[in-house]
Amino acid sequence: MNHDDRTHNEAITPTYHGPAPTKRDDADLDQLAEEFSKAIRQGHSPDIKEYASRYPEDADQIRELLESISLIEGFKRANTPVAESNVIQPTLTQLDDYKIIREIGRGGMGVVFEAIHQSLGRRVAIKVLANNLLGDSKHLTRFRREARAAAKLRHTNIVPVFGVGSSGNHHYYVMDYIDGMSLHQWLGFIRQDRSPEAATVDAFSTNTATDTEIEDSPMANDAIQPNLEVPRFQDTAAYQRWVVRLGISMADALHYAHTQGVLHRDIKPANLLLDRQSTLWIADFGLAKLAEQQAVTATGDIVGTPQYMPPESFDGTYDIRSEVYALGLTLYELLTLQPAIEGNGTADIIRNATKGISALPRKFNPLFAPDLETILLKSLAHNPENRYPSAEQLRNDLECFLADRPIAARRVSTAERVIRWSRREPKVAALTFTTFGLLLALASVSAVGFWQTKEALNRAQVSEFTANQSLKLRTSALQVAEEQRGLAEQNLLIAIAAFNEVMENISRRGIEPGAEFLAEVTDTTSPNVTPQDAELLNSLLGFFDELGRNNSKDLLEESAIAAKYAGDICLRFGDLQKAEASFNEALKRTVEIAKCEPNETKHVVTQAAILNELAMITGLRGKLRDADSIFVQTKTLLQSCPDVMTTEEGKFHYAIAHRLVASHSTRIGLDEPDLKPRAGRPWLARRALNHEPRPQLEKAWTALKECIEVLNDLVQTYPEEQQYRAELARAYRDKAVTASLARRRVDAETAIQKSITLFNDLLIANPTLDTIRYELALTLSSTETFNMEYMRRSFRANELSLELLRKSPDLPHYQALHAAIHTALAMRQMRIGNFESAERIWNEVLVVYNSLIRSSPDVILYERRYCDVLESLAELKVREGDYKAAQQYLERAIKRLQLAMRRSPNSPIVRLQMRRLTQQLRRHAESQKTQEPENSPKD
Amino acid sequence: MSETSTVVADELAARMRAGNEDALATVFSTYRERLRRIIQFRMDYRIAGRVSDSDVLQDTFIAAAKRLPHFSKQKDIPAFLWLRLLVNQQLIDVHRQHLQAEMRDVRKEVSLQPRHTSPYTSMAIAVQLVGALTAVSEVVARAEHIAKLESVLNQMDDVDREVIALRHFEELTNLETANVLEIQPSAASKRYLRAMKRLSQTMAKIQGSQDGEDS
Repeated sequence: MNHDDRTHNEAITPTYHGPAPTKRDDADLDQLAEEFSKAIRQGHSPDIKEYASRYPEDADQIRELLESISLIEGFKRANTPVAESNVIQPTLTQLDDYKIIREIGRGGMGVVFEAIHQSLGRRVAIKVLANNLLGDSKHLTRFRREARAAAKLRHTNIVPVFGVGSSGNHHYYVMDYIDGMSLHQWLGFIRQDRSPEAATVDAFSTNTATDTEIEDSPMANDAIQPNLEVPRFQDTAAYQRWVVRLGISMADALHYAHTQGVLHRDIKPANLLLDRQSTLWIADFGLAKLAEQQAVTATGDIVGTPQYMPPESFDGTYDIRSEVYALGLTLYELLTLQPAIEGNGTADIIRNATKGISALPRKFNPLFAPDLETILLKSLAHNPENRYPSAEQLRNDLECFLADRPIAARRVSTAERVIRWSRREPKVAALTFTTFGLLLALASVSAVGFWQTKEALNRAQVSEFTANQSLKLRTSALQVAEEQRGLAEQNLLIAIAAFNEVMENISRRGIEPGAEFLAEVTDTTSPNVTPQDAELLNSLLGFFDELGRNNSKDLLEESAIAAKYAGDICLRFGDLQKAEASFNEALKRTVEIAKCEPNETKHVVTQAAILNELAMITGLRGKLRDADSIFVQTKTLLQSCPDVMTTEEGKFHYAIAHRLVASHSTRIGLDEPDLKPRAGRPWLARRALNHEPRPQLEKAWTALKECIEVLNDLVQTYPEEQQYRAELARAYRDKAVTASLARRRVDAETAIQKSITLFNDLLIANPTLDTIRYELALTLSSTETFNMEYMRRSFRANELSLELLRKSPDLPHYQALHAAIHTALAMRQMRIGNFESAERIWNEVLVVYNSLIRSSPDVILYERRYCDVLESLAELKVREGDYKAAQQYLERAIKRLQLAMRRSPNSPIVRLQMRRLTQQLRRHAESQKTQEPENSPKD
Repeated sequence: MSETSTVVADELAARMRAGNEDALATVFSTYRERLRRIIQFRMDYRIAGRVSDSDVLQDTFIAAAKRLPHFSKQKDIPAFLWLRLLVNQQLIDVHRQHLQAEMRDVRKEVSLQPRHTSPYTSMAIAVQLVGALTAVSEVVARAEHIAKLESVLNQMDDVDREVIALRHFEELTNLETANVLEIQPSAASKRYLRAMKRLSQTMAKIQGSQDGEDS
């Protein structure tokens, strides 16, 4: 900063003479400050030392005061170029060969005049630059060089620059006079009053110059009816096409300039002019660089510019792709009437500008054309690498959009987008339930109306031959049908858009325990997915079915998706039966779709995905053998289509199927309520005695090997696909569990390490993804069996689970995880003799399990865990010597188990546990007889 | 102000009070640039693009001419401060006109009443102060500085903050400031010095961290 220079260079001493080293009071100091400020304002550089010497005792204080005054005044002076230039310019009537007619605008860089080039007799616009912009000759040379380069540009959409000149101490820039207005002004009018008729008249009454700070003096005498046909904003399709045409002009002009080696550097609505023929003009080429040196300090530019600055430009990087971005911002604003970057004050705007856009254009208009949105989002990619590499390519895609040809930009998959977004913008707006319901009602009503009318039309057709009268009937029916169809189609579009939004909301908010797609498993900061959402989706099913019956395959697909999501939501909330039903519906529809298009591999993949969900649910419900047969079904399906197995999705679901079957195999005998009757009691008893149930570890081991192989392959081929890594990490966790069951400690530890590393890396890359947090916690807490680094891991697991519950206290699988981790912690407390804290923790865990059992009565595991905890509490009481309490806990557990058995009478595992409890109870009863009962616990 | 100019100003003011429009024009042109600075400082950036400061000045002059009779009744107010009041009135109107559609309550965000200040004042000061500190490449860092400075200004007593605005951005003298704030000149001095001290400490901090980044 150069305030020091300013204060030391020339020592012009104002009025004060003669030292008077006396005591001072506030008024004296203030007077000093006033004097000092005034000197600076008059352009002097007063010497602080001299002022300080007046009151030597307070020299430090004075120095501090005056230095900050000089700072403030110095900044202010640099910040008010307009004020300075104003002093002279109002008197300006002639500049060399130009006769000044009137001032048409002023901005941070100077004042714009309308003028006549007298020798040529043509109307021009002259920008007289603020003197301080060209303060030193280096800048002046540069300005001239840039302006010369700009003057060489010849393009139908670039405001021609005729040259630069200087007259006296005025430097100016001469360009063609464009009779119109800037897009900035235009947007202002449109926003104020969305009727373009009114807007255009008003707008054109002001003549245009090229800066933000243009004055809008409504001069009635200048108002000319505009010759401009702009579609109404409300007419989305037509309006979008109009904007796209403007975009093509801009991109084309920019590309041309780029090929000439000229960057504009300040593309924003204020620099884009629209003339009365609706032709777009880019103005101010070659000026931005000049402004850049000073712009940051000019008040107007501080507030005006950051909004349109690409994120990388804040790091000093700026190239062609930055201009693509700026153009994208302008198009975004034109299309949505919302600035792409907004903020509360400059600091906020700058912060947001560095983050990039935060709302999809669709948010402002559900009818926003998806292809156009894709183009916009590609132009506005945060990373320049992901943008169009040139303005030409942007133009080409815009042209494709206009011609209804496929665009080159790949639609970023929901998965990628959600991940990118969740990284930048964890806040997710919740969809209002009522709005959607309203839309839905509207759509179904008019759709039904349409089908009814169509039937009437058919009837009319039949009777066409019978009477003349029917012709009339037919005509009118046809008309009504046409109208209805238009309405129905429109509403259907809205319904589908709304549906997509629900889906996106859900997929952004929701996760399911065994989610096969990492992307659908994003943050749950607002866990507002409710069972009502599932209801809503189920009601949607009927709607799509209704329409789908009338031959639209797309709708069938929507309905399949809706069913699948309904299943996901039910799963999240632990309603396994409903989830299973929904997934079965989804499967049914997908099979139907697949029948229509037997060669389409994606339907097979979808089926496999749904089958995997079903297998998981069936497994969760303890029907392990059913799950196994679903696995066989999935495997057969995938292997019957060699094409599918070459796709990454095919391989992926193949791997998932194997992981699921492995996990089920390890649970056979442990976790299943319905064992075949032939197993019989004696066999069970034997197993119970050995305390070693026989899960099919070999089978699990083989399946996991296959799964891990495929996934490793996928991860290597597609290193950027995080869902493969996540799945691989899950597979390693399962492998660890299997290995530990098979007492292969080393294998188990290696696998768990790999799983932890993978999840850790994923979490670092996606700190907002709670699924990964959940999975990592799960992995960490599954190390219990290995006892290596046990404490460290379980503490971390505990931290993670607390974090998760803080955000989403209602999700059952989070609660279950938390309960499991705490059960283990309590066990440890008990072992080290911390009875009180163990008891407290277990009692808390009981509360958790109770609510879990209420919300998911299907999951027999929760019931058993509950009884396990009661059993542990009984053990605790025995250790404390409180046999009576122990007995009470055991009785409670037995009561619970009896209830559970009533629900699943054939569960051997429950019977086993029951028997164990009864025996314990008996033992306690006996020991109580022999010992003196004690009611108070020992320490 | 030197003594002669004070005499002249008093004389002009007296003629204004007598309803002389020429005197008003002379006084107005004397203070035009100062008034313009006030407008530039107080005008919300959102309307700065739509309304020029010359417009506001012009309207102020018209309003002043209309309201000259009122001025004659207010004997204790100097001409400049009276004009300043009118400028503020114009600004309120302009803000109301242009921003009411966007904000339910204009004053919530933009307060132009001299008696109570708003967060907007601090933002305006902060932007101006930090504005000149940096080049484009440092804008991000600057955003943080603005926020810091803003918070310091916000923590300040309303009157302190307004004192800085009046003294340095509207360029009022201490006497004028005291008059506007309706406090004693000595109190105004005290306030001003105290506010400046705090501000300079914060700026020194910011400056220090920035110099560190530069080197």
